[in-house]
Amino acid sequence: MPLAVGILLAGFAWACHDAPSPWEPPTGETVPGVRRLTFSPGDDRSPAWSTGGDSIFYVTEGYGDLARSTGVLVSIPREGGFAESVFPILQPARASAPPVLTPAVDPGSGRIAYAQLLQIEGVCAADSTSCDATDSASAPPRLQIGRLRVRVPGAPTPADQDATLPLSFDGVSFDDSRHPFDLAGVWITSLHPFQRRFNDEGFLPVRPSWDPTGDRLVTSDGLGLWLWRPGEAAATQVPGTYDASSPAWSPDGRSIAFTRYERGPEFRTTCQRFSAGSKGPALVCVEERTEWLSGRALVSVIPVAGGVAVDLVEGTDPAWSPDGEWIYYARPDGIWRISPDGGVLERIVGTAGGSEPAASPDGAELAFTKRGEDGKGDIWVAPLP
Amino acid sequence: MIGTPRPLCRTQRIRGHDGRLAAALLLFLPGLFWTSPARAQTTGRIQGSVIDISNGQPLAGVLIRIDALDQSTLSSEAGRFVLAGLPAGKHDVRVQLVGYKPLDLQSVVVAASRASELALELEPTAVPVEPLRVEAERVPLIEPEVSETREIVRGKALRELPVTTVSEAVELTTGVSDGHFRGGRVGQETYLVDGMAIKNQVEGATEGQGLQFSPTALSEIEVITGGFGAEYGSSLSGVVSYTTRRGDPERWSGAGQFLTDRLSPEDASVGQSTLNLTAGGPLRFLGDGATLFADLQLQGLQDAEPRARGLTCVQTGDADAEVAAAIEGYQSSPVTAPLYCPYEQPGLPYQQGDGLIGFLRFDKRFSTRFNLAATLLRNRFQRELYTPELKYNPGSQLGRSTEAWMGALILDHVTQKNGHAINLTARLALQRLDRYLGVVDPAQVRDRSTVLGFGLSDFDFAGESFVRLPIEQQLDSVVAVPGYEAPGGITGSPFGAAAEGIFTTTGSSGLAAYSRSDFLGTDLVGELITADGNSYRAGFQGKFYQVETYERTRAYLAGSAPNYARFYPTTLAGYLDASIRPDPLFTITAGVRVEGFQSGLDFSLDRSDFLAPVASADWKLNVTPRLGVAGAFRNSAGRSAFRFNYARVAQPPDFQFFIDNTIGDSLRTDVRRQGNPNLAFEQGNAFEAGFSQLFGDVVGLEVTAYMKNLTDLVTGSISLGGSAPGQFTTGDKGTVKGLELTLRGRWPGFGLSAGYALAEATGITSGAFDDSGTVPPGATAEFPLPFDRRHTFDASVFLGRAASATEAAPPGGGLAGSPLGLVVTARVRSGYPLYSGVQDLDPSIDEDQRLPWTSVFDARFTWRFANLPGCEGCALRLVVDGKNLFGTDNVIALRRDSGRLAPSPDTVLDLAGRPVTSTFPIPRESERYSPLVDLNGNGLITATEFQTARFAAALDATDPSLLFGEPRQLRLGLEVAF
Repeated sequence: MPLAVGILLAGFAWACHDAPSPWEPPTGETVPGVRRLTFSPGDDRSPAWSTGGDSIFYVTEGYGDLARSTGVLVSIPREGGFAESVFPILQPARASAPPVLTPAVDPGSGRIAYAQLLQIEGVCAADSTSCDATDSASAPPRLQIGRLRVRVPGAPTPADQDATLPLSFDGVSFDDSRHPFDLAGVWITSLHPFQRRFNDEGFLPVRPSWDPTGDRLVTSDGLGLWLWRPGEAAATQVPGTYDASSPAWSPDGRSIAFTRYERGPEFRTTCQRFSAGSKGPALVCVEERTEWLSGRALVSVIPVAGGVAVDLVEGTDPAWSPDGEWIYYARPDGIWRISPDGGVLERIVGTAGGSEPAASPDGAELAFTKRGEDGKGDIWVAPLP
Repeated sequence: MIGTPRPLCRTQRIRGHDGRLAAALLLFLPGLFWTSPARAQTTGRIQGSVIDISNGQPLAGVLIRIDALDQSTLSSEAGRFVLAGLPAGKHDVRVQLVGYKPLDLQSVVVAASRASELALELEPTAVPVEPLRVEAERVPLIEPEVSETREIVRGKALRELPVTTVSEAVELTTGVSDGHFRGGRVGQETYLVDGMAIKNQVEGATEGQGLQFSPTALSEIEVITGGFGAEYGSSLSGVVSYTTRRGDPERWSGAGQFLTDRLSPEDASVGQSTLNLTAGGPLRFLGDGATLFADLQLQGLQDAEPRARGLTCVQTGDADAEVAAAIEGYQSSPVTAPLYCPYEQPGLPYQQGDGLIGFLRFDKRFSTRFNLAATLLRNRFQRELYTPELKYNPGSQLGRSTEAWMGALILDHVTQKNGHAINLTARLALQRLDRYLGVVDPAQVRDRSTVLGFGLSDFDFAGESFVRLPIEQQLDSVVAVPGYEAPGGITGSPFGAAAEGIFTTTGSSGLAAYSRSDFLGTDLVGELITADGNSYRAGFQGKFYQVETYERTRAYLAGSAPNYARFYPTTLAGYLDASIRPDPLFTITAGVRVEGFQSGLDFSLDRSDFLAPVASADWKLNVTPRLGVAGAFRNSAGRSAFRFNYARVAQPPDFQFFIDNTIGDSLRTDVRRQGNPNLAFEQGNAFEAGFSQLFGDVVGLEVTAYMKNLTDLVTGSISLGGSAPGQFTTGDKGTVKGLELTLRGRWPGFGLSAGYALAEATGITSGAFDDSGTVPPGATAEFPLPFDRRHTFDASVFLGRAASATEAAPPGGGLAGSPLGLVVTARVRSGYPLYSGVQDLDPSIDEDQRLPWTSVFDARFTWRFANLPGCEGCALRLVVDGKNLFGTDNVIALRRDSGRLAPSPDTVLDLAGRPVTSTFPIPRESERYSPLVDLNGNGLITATEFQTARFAAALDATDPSLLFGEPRQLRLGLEVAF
């Protein structure tokens, strides 16, 4: 009998039915191997890893409650999940906001360098254009003025307090000493390869990169590379970098990889632009354009101090592995990697159609942009061998 | 003088005799006691007559004495005696006269507010003999001298019945169903404790009684459903009178019981644990007759209001064809199936709670005449409130807390002389009842330290300290209540953004409300009891209230102002009452009561004009006569009895109707009315006729027919209303007609109590409690009242030790002497009308439609399996308690829009049609994405997928969980008694 009582009392002590637990959302699905992080119909591009590697920053064309902009900077967890706006002060929910482009994350402090375009108009507004060279690109250069800024995520300060480097892109000038057809002047334009890339693909040469200490940034104005210490008024040029875009600073701080666009043959053309009037088309401006046909895009490496750039391989968007052993780059058939000395070449499985590679800080995975048939990109992640 | 006919022919007399007859008498003495109409007191009396058995002549000068109380009296010339002012309980009575064999009556039951009548016969003897010991303990099967309709639940039965609360035991009496007394609205009954009226006069109609006792703290509950005397006021339909237990003056005794269902299987457990500790005994250091009694009940509840199906969803069988087809559509495809019923668990979430009832009683007898009793009661009940719209909100839920204090002092003075007794009683009581309803953080509730589920600390309601600030201070600060946030939430439920506006997943409800009523009550009663058994009474009762109510429905809005009122109502009453026996077979009771109340509020004569003059509510008075006749048929040997009574009844309206208020559960009815401080009495007439018959000595049957015509019931009906639309008035009428049958039987080891009631309750409208549509002025068309329950059947069966312990059966060997006991109760009821008072606005509504029948079978099994070592009379008992043994899914309500458990398609479409802020498509990386809604799994939610999920969310939000009755529950426990 005492045993029965004892068992009963012991039963009272340990037995318990918990209260019904409240509903909990399911944990995010994890897909081994290659996974897609974004699904929005808009263009999601320019992935950059956070310092710890637990999330990925990227630029989206916006959806839902995000700001109304063609470039909203958001951050999404590495395994997938919900994307959050990174600069809610600059880009408030459901409000119009200027785009934030090509983010680069300082591996030490987590500051983000980003580019903004301030003037990307055409040469003059017109309804039709007639150029005397029939194989000319129909559109004049559009990149004109931009800026590079550095900001801490979550900073409460307004944008104009961010360290700023003004950028101007060569390609458009106005000669008011001549007045053909009684016009005010003539537009003199140069459709450099980077300008052509921007017109055709939306490609931005600016993409900055931090040095491993977080002291300086390297960026491009489309024609060459520039080094800038945030806070200083001006940048210094890296000598020997011609037609250099999308730089990437090596983890040891000694070299910079970049995309070099070869210039094809040059030719000149004069274009007249007309607006439709009630009495027929009216001439509104004349443009004298120098253009170069596209040559190859090459991945090159140059010492930081300057010197001779060494072309490694045909490709674009170089990005270093965190240990400096590899340079990842994009080819039309996907993402490859090459050793800095050019000796070893490997394809990364699962990255067909991918561009803008970015290796995770732990070197285990690669984030990249993959464009679909509609030309709109999405962020993907693939494991690295 | 010729011996007068003995009214107790149907029973055996108590007489001095030899041992054999004595032995026979020891077995069985039913119906020994007459009892006369109830008097609300803590003390009772013994009265009766003594004759010489040899010649039938009355004996004068017989000493009737109770040694333990040092009380005695002598019989009169007519052989009559009365011994009044006796504390309720069992007493040993000695009856002796020189030259006769003395009688020692053991364990004579004296019930509070009752007179126990003894017919004693003494046998002459020349030889001194040992007094005959007679055990006498019985509950009468029929009561021929009582003109009321009443039932008594003994304290011991309360402790054996499978009940946790007192109201569950009251529920088993005939004529009571869901707290409705004979088809009356809840709040038409009054409650007394030890003779002091403690009705929740402020909110009885919507909140019930509020103050609670634990079943182990009571020695008796008396439920009167008809013919109550002039001393009872503030009631239209019933009286529930509690008598509290007091300590045994001889020795300390007590019990501890722990009962839990947490060891039971999942489908028989709601996470309830109850601990009961009781002790009482003498305080010898304070002198003779000083006793103390203490009782504590602690309850820990995982689910404070469990329902039969737990958290459930609408099912195809619950719905009409269109909604059923939609449900089947969801279930038929593996892609849409997860949208249907994504959250199903055995119990209801967010219903945790705990309860505490503590009671103390101190008694002191200062002399043979003077008795003092002091009682103290404390309640604390707190719980979360499951709300379907909030079920996916982990940060904020609604909760409520009820706290009560009551202290009472009762002074009894009795003078006995020449067979007469004069009893004076004075009572003083102070009570506070405080209810709070507001937002609570479920994490705080969950993380409190608990002992077996009982939370030691109070719930931390958001902003309570702000809400309870003086109103002037609150109005000066135009802020939201701290801790409240605007309800909203676009995601957070399984339906993601598709549930926007359907579920509140962020923020909180906006409700913050409390109601506090304090009263000081006094009661003075004088009673003269003659030796003939007549009694004459006069009394005065007064209650002085302070009532404070507060309600803020958008507490998250900085600009929202609360509805607040503080006022001081008063109720006063006086009564005269006489109970006369012109003939030993016949008792007439007549009385008159004068009652008055004043709301204590000022009000504007025209609410729309702020310059209109202000008037004070005046005193309202009401006079209610009462008349009752009861008796036994001649030559029936007391086995057949009849009764008839008429009562004019009246009660002040709930004080909450004086002020602007939301009635009932604002979450579910959201019916608002304007207060009317000038309301008058609700009143009516009640007639009753009854017949009782005793079969053998084992079965008693009672049949009662009654009719109540109630007028001036509170209503908020617009068309009957006063100067302002939707204002309370007293214009409703209701009629209840009924027939009741009660059967009581007792055999060795087996006791039975069963009742059946057939009732019809009709009225014009009860628009005070729901918008039932317009009624043309002056219309007298009848509709069934919402609480018109046609058939009610209750039964309790006591077996074995349970039968003898509760005195439901005679003591003795065999089954009665078994260490096993079993009590089984059954409650079978027909359903309420689904629609009442509805005009023919919608021809598709079948006004005769009723809710389905409900049935609940409960049982408690006990096994006394061991004694405590070294303690005689101490016992260990195993207790197994089962509720709703058959697990019946009783449906207690249906939806008005569809007449079913599931909503109508229009209701669901309306809910799903609320505007949303989402734009489409919604990509997977958006926080508005939910994988359940992305039916084709392509990472994008289109508008079509969204609408599919939204309809499912609307179905989920209309979950029928709260439409079911109690679930099956199996509890296991241990009791230690010493």
